Amino acid sequence: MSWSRRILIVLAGAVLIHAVALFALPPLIMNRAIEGIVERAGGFNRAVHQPRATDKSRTIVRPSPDILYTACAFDLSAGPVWLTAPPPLGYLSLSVFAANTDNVAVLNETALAGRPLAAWLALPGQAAGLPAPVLISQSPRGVVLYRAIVEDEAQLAQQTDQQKRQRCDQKGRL
Amino acid sequence: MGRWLRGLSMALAMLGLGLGSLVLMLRPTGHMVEVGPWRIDTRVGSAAAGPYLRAQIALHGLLALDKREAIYFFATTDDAGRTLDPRCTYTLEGRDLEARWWSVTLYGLDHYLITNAPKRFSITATTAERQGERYRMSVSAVPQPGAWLPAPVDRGFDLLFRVYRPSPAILADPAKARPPAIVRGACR
Repeated sequence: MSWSRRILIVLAGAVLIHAVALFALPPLIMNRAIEGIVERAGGFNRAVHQPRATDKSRTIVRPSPDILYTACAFDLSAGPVWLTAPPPLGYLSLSVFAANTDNVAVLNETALAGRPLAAWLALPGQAAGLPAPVLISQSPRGVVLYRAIVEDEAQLAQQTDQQKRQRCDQKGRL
Repeated sequence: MGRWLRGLSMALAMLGLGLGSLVLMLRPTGHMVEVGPWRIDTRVGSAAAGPYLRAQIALHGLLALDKREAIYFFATTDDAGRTLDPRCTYTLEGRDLEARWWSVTLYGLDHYLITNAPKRFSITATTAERQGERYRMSVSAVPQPGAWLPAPVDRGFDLLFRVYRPSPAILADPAKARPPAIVRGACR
């Protein structure tokens, strides 16, 4: 085989490897995060309420000590998921991340205007007939993350109680 | 044997070129905006417009809030460009900004919160010392009066300034977030 042909083959192979790795990386990274949440929650579509980050927290890098996190690894293959939280005391955001790491939906306390959070998370084919609001995920699996800022330590006990009532349930209200 | 070796070397060359070029293209450079000693990666919290940006976000900002919810500035030096030193005391001063809330958090070089006696890991918009619009805090391994953020005694550290729900003006120009000045004082 000539050298020029070998070089071409190597370059073509390098391009292929580059492309495969590029597209495989985000789902691989996301899958690790999903597996970690599933392990802590005991399954899909279950909320896990993280205690406030301290010097002992080693699960994710640069955790914020001022945020109460609730995470849920969702799996919509058996139906839509119902996301709920009590009316927030202060800053609250809910973010939905698809399997390829895309942040596909955000809800926050400004949109709630003092009301409880209650939304369906569904695949496009599951959304018909569901009452609004419906958050759409293109991927059957992903992560939902609630974040509440502890702006005032005096409210920590109330906020921790609220955190425990942030939920992620398959198919219906409980 | 010769063919086998040639095949192996070609395969290794493909791997090296393919993955090496990917690592180079996903480096966290070229997207950094500097505001004094603070740097912000403008990709974090962005909608992934293509495969490279999606991969960069996966590596450097997985599960990060959307930019409209929060932006993040890092500092590893003081205003004079000197690496943050655990032997020194720093004063951080700034003015209120157009945002819902903010915090300054200290991390060890391993990217985790450090052990300290008061178990204080951040100073926030709520806990900073205030004089009108201006706020102040100190960062030091030695206890300080007022809003004091403990630093490690003998290890390096860096600071993360989180700005929640920044105004559209800040989103368009991160410099408008006015991250605090980091001024070095006395060193042991």
